[in-house]
Amino acid sequence: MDIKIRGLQKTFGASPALHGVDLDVGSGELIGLLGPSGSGKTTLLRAIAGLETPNAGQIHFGGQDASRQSVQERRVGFVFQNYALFRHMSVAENIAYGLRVRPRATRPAARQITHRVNELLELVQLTGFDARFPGQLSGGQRQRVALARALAVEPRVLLLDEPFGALDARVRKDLRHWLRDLHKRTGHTTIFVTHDQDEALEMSDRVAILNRGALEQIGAPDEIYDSPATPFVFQFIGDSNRLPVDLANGRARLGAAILGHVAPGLEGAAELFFRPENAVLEAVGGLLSGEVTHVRRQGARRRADVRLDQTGAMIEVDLPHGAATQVTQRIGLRLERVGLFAQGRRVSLLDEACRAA
Amino acid sequence: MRIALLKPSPLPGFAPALGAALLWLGVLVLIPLAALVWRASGLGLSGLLSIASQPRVAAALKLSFGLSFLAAMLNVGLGGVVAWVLTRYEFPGRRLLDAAVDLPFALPTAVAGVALTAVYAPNGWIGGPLDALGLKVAFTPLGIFVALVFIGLPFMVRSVEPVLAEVEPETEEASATLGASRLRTIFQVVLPPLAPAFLTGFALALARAVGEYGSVVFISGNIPFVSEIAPLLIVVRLEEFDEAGATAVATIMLALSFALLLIINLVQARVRRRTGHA
Repeated sequence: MDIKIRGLQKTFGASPALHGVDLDVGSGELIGLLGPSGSGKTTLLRAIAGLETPNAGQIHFGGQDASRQSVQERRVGFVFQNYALFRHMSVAENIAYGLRVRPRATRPAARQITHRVNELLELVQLTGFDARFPGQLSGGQRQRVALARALAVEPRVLLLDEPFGALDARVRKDLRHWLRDLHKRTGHTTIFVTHDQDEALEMSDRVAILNRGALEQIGAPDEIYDSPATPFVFQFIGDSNRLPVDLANGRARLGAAILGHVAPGLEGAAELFFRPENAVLEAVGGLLSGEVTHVRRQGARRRADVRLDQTGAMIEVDLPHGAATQVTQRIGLRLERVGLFAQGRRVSLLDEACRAA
Repeated sequence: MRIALLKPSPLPGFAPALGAALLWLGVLVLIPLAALVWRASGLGLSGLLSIASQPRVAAALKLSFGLSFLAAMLNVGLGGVVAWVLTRYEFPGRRLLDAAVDLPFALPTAVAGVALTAVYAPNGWIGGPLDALGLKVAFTPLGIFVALVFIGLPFMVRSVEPVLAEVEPETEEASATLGASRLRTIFQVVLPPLAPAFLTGFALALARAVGEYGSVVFISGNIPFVSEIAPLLIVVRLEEFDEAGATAVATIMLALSFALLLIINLVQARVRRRTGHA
């Protein structure tokens, strides 16, 4: 079931939580909603489920307007951050709940319900846990029960709020693969909320980045990482360096160095972003140079702090394998895949002194 | 030698604390009750039973336990709603209402009795209109019922409130996303985990109502066979210098109360197991 969201707005009291969000989700797609806390990602998810009433805007499920439908009518599967299992019901009763509460005319027979519950228990790898109570399960198991319960009603859309938020790192990693796998097998249109960028980039078909109630960028994980559309996305995803740049007379200048040309008419302050792995070491004497002030190991890579000669700004640079770079050494730098932004909008750099993404 | 039954605990002072607890429990509860039973034992079981079956005593016991039970039942609903309102909604005057719940607790029971009588008497604010409808409250068993509901309410509210506050609103939302109506959500998701708390509140309200004296004597009219409660009958017997009779009624009340609380505790243990509290 595809989802179409248009101009969704929500305010809590005086503070806006969402302003004018447009989002299209294809049928069977797995979308990660990523953003810092307070960015409105959970509000958006709850609005899709019908748990929040937006002030304006529409939500369509498969061409049908769902905006006026109640939570019950929307038939969404929602997995809550704290799982919200019914503690007084066994695992089997939890999973069967959505089928048992149906009106008599559409309620499956008891035998069918049991069959479906067993099917789902197998799907979430909890066969044999049917008689346990939620209090007797680990966090990862509860999470899977919550998922089975949501899937039991054959939802049109599956929504997950911080599905791995309350789990420890190991379990989290296992469940990520498992959920990705499950999605491949069941093919539900799925939206999940997370504040963990690794999770979003690893699991999603597409990632939607929210900031202060607005969508900053939506795209495939590679697209998000390699060509961030806004300064916020550049800084929020992965590591990046930010350098203040002056635009004057059709040129972008970093101190005395001319980085390249820009369209005439662009004047004033701008920001140049690039990732540490996109700074290439060269012989001193090129466009940019600096002095290494600190070198440290971070897992597979070595990273250096460099003070730029041109403006005195500190930047981070990844060192190539086997480079014998030492502290106090002077290095030359060439920047690749840079992003230049003036007033929050992307500006293209017109020649090759540093290559834009 | 140290008491070998105990696992070593990092908390100091177990022995003196247990000693003090047992001492107080003994001096304040067990010894007086034992004395009561000791005195009554002079009558023998047949003597007790014959006193219990005296029409006036039987009527008083029936009235006391019957009305207390009904009042506690009503408080399950009433207290549940009040606790729900206090925990779930934010409204002007909430704190005032919250404080007012404890009034029946803190008020001298005689004050409660006088106040209730004034309001529910045939010439009172509420009693007047009800009297016009042909419903007499004060000086009838209905009046006793009103007083017992009044004094039992805080027990119910304060038992249910903390448990209700712990219920995650998400479970209700989860129920809704699974297609359940509001009514079904309340009966299948919200209420079942609250059952132990309701039982506790019920037991406390019942126990309090059975023993209530001060507020009831003012509103009941104290007519033997009609609106005379068992605790009052004990006082009446004592005033007649019939100490054996008073002791007998007291012992019967003690036995009945104890049996009731025991049953409620057993039910509660069952409910807890069933609701996965273990």
